[in-house]
Amino acid sequence: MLGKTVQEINVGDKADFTKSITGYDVYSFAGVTGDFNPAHINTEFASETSFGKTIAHGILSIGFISNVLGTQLPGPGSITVGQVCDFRKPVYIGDTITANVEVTKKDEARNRVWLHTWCTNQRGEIVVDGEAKMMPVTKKPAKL
Amino acid sequence: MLGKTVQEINVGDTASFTKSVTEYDVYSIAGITGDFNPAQINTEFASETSFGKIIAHGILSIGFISNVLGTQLPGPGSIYIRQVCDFKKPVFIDDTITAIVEVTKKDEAKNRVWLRTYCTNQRDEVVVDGEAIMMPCRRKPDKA
Repeated sequence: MLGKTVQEINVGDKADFTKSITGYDVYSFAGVTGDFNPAHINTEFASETSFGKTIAHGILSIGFISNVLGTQLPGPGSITVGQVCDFRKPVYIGDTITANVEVTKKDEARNRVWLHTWCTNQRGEIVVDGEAKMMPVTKKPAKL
Repeated sequence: MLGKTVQEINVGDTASFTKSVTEYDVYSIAGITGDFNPAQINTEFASETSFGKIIAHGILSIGFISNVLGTQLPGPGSIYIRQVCDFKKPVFIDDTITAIVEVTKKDEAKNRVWLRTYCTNQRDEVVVDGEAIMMPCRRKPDKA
């Protein structure tokens, strides 16, 4: 159940997660964060924007990245130190988004791992691109 | 209803949003993103971590920042270009989190605004610190 230690992680290691975006996701996310930006929850407003229809919150895609970091690589017990995300293209309801992470660097002495983190849509277009700095788990908690 | 244009925004402008974090928020984010990291949804696991109890997803705090950017400053019609965030301290259930954005730079020719984006807890400790780059709305959509 516990994630990998910095010693168990290698540059080039990868993991991913894929989910199709529903209206439920966007409206739930708005409800939890209070982010009722009309671009996400007002179809009339959105029809007049450059995107032409409502788009998902960018943070939803970051959530999928956080999912992969926290449950797979480095996995449970790791701590997210910092993240950078560039929003490249809009994500629409009905899009199928894949969050990818790939280890680019590690520092065993400081217990840090750097990962390229990005999301693609069903056409293979990069919608979010960025980097995460993680602190992998250092020791196994006693109860695990 | 529409947000500010780059001409209407000034360096030093600030906006904020405050919410107390509940278990509902954390479990909803887990359900929406698939981020079932045990640090967030397993009290037994969390009791053995350095935090001692379950913590909220970092993206919940980023969601509050996105809320302020998308609904207040620059506001509706703006486009999210980049978010950088450093996670400084854990956010626990029942913490009251304030997301604050402050304009640090603008470029009218390129229609870009830079903001310091950070979250504090009820003890005024900075829990998330970072920067956002936004493209404010350029013209008023006809129906807005």
